[in-house]
Amino acid sequence: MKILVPVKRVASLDDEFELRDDGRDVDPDFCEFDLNEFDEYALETAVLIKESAPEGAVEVVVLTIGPDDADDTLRKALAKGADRAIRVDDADLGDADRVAIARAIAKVAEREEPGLVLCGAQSSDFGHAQTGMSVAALLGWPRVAVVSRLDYAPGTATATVERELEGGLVERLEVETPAVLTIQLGINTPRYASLRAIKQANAKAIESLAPADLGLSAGETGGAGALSRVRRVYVPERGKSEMIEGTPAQQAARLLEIIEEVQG
Amino acid sequence: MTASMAPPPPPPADMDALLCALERRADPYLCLPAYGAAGAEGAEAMLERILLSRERLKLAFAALPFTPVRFLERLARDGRPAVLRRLARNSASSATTLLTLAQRAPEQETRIAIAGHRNAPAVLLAGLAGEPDGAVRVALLRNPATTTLVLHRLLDRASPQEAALLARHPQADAALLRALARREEPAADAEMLTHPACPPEHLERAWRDSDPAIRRRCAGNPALPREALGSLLADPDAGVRAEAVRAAAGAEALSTEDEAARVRRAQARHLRLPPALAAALGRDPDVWVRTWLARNPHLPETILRGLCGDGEARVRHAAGRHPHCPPDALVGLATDTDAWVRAGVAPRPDLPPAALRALEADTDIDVCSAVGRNPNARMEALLARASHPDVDVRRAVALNPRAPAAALRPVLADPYPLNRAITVRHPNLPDAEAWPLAEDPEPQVRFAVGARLVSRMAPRAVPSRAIPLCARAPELSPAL
Repeated sequence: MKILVPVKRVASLDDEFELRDDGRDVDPDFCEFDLNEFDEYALETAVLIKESAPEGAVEVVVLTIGPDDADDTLRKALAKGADRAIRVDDADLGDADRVAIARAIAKVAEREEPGLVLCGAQSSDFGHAQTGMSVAALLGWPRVAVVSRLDYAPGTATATVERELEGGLVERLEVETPAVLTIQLGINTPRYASLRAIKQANAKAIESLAPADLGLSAGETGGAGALSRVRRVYVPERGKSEMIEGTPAQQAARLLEIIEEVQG
Repeated sequence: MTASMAPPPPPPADMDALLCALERRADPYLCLPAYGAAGAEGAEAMLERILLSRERLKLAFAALPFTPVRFLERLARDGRPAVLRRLARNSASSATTLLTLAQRAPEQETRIAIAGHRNAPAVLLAGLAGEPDGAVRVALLRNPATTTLVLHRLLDRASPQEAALLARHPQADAALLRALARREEPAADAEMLTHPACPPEHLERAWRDSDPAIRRRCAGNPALPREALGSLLADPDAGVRAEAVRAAAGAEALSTEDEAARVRRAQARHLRLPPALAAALGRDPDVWVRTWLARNPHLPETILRGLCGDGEARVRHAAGRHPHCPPDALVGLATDTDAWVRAGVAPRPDLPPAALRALEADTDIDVCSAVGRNPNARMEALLARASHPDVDVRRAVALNPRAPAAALRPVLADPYPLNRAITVRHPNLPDAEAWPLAEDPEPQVRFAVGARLVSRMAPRAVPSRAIPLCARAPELSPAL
C-alpha cells in the first residue's frame, strides 16, 4: 500500500523584503526556501503509519511540482523517511494556481494508486488551503480537511480522523479510503533527519516527470490551466500617526484641526 | 555509496592548505570565517568570488552579526540599498563600514540606522546632528555613543520628546541638563531626575516634592545628597523607599526590616546587607524576598544554609546555585525531592563526587541535562546523554568544557543541526573529526567548521583598519 505526500517548497520572507519588478511576488533574493511546515507533519504522519506496519507493507511517496531547485525539498523528505520521490516540472509553472497544481498531483495519484493522500493543511507562504481539497475533488475521493488525529491501519477500508472545531469541539469521523486528508500542525512531532539519512537521500534518484508524461495537456497546467491569476502583491499603506507637540493649548488646537480634517 | 566507505579526507594542516580546500569546495558558509583572517589576506579576491556569487548571499551576510567585520566593510561597497540598510543595522558593523555607508548618500532608513549605531564614530554622529529629519535626530538621542558635544548641538532645536531623550542620555553633562531644566518641560524634568549629572538644585526640589512619582525617580539617583537619601529611605511611599534602598551604597541605610514586601525584596538584593537584617529576611514570609536573598552573593554562610532547607523549592533552587553554597549543603540539595532543585546543583563543578554519581542516575530531563554539562561527569554518563532521546540533553554534552572526544563523537552526528554546530567547535574534538562536517547539509554547521579551523590557524584576528576620523569629516555625504 502506498501513501502519497505532496510537498511544497515554500518561501519564508526576511524581516524586510522587496517585490519583484512585475509586482506580482516577492523578490526571491529576500526569501529562504524550505519544506512547507504543514507538509512536515503530513510526511511524519505517513512515516509513522509506515513504521507501525510490517516491513515493506507501506511505501511513502513524496511528490512536488516545481523546478530543479525543489529537489532539495524532496531530498529532505526522503531523509525523513519517505521511500521514493517524484517531481513534476513545468516550464510555465510560475503562473500555476492551486487547481493547476492539483491537476498534476491528481494525475500522479491516479498513477500511483495510493491508499491515502496526505497533504499539509495549507502552505505557510500563501495559505490558500485549497490544493488538498482540489486534489480530492479532481479524484472524486473522500476528503477531510485540517486533521488533528489519524487512526489508520494500512490496507483497511476506513480511517478514523479527528478535526478541531470552534469552541474546543472535536469532530471524529470515519472516512473511506482511498481518501485525501489535509494534516494540521501539532498532530505529531516531525523528526529531524539524521546525517546518515541525509547522505542516503542525496544518493537516491528522483523521478522527474513532465505534465505530458501524466497525460496533462498544455491547457491544463501552468498559467493556462489556472483558474486564478495574481495581479498584484503589495504592502498596504500603513496608518499615519503624528506626535502632537507644544503647549497644552497648542496641542488642543492641533487635535481640533485633526478632528475637523477627519470629519471633512 | 562507496564514498561513505572511503576514509574521511585529512583536515588542512595550515592556512594555505585551508584556503586551497575552501577554493576547491567554493562553499560560501565554509569560506565566510576566513575573510579578513590573519594569514588569509592574499585570498580575499578568491573568497569574494565565492561569497559574492549570489545576491541572496550578500543580503544574508550583510545582516548576520557573526559575519567577519572585514567582509562587512567589503559589502559596504555594494550598490544595493537593501544591502546597505542591513549593514547599517548590523551590530557588528565597524566604524569603517558605517563611514563608507554614510559617504554613499544613503536613504533615510539607512541614515536612521547609522545614527543609532553604537559603533558609529563621533565625527559621523556629529555630521548627522545637522539632519532636519526628526527620526534621525531621535536615533542619535537614543544612541549611547552620541557624544556630549553632539547632544549640545541637538539641544537648540529639540522638541519636547527630544528634550526628554536628551535628559536621560548617559553622555549628557550638567550644563546640558541645566539648560534643559530652564525650559521647564515636565517630561525632560522627570527624566533628568535619574541622571547622575542632574543639577543639585533640581534634585533638591525633587526629593521634597509632594508627588511620590517624582520622589521615586530621584530616589535612585546616585548623586542624591546623604540627607535626601535618608529622608527617602523613610518615605511614606513604599515605591520611593524601595528605590532608595537600591541606590543606597552603605549598609547603614539598611538597618531595619520594612513593612512593605517590595522594599524588603530590594533589601534582600543589596550587596551590603547587614547580617542581622539578612537573618531577618531569611525568615521573611514573602517567597521572593527569600529567593532574592538566596541569590545575594554576599550572604553569610549560616543564612545560606538555612535557605537550603527552605520550604519553597524556588528558594532552595536559588540557594543551590549560589556560588558560595557549601559542599555539604550541595549534597543535601542533590537529593532534594524537587527535580528543579536537583537540576540547580547538578552542573556545579564543586559538587562532591558521590552526589554527582547519584545524580548521574537521575532520569529527570533537567537533571540529566545539567549533569551532562558538569565537567566532572563520568564518561559513561556523558555517553548515555550523547545518545539521549532529548535534544537538549544531547546538547549538554557538547556544552561540557571537559567532554572527551569519545563523548562528543555521537553528538557530531546529531540529527539536530545546532547540536552539530556546537560540537564541531569543541576544543577537545580533533580537527580530523571536525573537518568532515565541512560537507554538512546545514550552513550553520559548515560555518562552524570554517570558524574552527580559521581560529586555530589564525589565532589573532586582524584589527579593523585605523580610521583617520578627523581627516575624513569633510568628506561625508552632502546629505549628512
